[in-house]
Amino acid sequence: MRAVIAVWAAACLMSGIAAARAARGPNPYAAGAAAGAIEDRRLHHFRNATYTETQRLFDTLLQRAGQAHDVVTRARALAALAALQRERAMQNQATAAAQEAQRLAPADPEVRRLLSQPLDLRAAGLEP
Amino acid sequence: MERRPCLALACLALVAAILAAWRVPDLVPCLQDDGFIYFRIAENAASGNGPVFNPGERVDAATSPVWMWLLALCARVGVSPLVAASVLGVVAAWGAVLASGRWALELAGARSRGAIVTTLLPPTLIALDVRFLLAALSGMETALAACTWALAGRSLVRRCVQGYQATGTGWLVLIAVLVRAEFVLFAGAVAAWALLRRTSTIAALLRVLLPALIGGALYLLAHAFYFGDPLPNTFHAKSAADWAHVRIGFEWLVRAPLTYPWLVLAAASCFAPWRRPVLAPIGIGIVAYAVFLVSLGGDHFVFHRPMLHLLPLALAALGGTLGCLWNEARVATRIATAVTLAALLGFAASRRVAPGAFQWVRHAAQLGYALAHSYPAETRFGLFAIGATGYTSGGRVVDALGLADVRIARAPRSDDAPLTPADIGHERGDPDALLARADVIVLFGAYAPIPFESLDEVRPGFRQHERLLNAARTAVAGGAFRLRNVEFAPGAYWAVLERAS
Repeated sequence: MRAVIAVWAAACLMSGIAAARAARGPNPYAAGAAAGAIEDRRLHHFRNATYTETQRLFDTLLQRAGQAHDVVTRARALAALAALQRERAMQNQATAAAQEAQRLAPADPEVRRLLSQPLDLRAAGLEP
Repeated sequence: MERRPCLALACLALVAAILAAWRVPDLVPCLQDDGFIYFRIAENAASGNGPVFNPGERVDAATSPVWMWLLALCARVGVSPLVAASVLGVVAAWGAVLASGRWALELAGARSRGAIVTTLLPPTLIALDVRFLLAALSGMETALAACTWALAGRSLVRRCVQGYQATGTGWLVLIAVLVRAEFVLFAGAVAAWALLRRTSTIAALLRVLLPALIGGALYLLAHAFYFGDPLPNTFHAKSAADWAHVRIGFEWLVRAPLTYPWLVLAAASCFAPWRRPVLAPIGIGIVAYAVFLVSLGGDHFVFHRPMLHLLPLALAALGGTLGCLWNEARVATRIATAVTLAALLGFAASRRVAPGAFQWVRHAAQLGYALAHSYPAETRFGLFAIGATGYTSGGRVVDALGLADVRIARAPRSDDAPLTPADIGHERGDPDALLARADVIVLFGAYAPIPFESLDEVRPGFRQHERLLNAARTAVAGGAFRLRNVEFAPGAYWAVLERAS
């Protein structure tokens, strides 16, 4: 019977320790506590650009595609647009732009590069 | 209880306590937003403002009166509800494992070493599964409900179905119902089964359940007297039972066995031929509870949280059944049982929770402090998640989803878009009323390391939030509100709508 009592006593002690550890944990809900990493919860944002900067990039690429005098330039602008839209989680629009770019210039290596890699703003002539 | 089962139960208690003590530091703090709703109500009750979310507004936003009053008692004696909830949660989780193990041993009547171990392995699943401990530390009543349901279920079955003497059954049922009202489904199932099987008469049942019946009636009367409604406001905000909810709820229920594979075995064990006379009412209770959850469309909390309430009860039934099976079965059956249990134990032990669970609640708490610092005390904050931000801001809150708002809780559902799982529990709303009554509206989950410049950047999330965003665009265009970023932590911004005047 002593063994039973000893095990029960140890169990109660450990349970008390568990409760004490729960009570003495850190309190990140106190005023001024460190917030930790802040997730970016914006919709369709592009990397760490602001809404205005993202819209400017978007408008520039649309304008470039619309004003292009040859199909290859137009295809490259659409491919860059597709890459930007993919990063903004606009999957349907990104797919449509990518398909149009491939249809216009199926053999152009720059179009393929743009569609297969993260958008390089400097290389695409889109200085932030 | 004989020496060997008693020692085995003590060993289970020790294992459960060691596991909890080992895991707790990795889990805390992991309070959920709804936990803070209890904290604010408890502090209001402790300071003499009544059990309400907004002082002066008699609306019951607490689902569990026992949990709320326990926290209020702690707050009254100077213990922070945040600390009290964590301690009570850990103790209740430990109690739930013990209650489950004890009843399993009684059901099995096991004496041999093998039978005792087999009987106790299902309750061990609760101790091994880190998700149960996470729920216990969430600031909510989950572990307390699991513990009290197991105690009251055991007492009811022993008294009304098995004919044993069990004192305090009616009181235990009353407490279980006041922790989570859904226990009435189990109490009703046991009472009906006892009458059907003639293991109890109506008079005897009434005698047993008298404290629960009178206590429940008095509680409803007092509730109606104070709040003007016998039911909590959350009942009106969340009640559903149409086909759209049933479809979503059924899909939610179908996924439950992927979360807790032992739940199916436990429910089935209640109807096993040699245990059916005793355990069938628990099985019927589980089915009734599942139907109820389906009618609500399931639940949006992680890990099928409502299922945690019934796990100790259900796993006691499974343990009791397997203990009997071990005594009577052949070697091949015993091996199959052992292999199945080993697989389940491995599954339970392998469960993990992501580090930094419920991180957004910490941000919401910091937002509350920032709001209190940025706006005058009389500002009315419109919130979609009223818990952490409401608690730390200390300001008056207009609840966008109606948990703490009578009018929105009773607002008709909008049928402008199909119901999705993301909408469950967040279906009521009135964007125009929110814009009319709140001075500052916090957009749900709209935080980023870069300031927001347009409402188009805010994710809609769920239908009521989308409706608010649509109405807000008009209000911003008309000049009634403007978009503002509240810096709730260095370099972290939360988008809010601020009344222009």
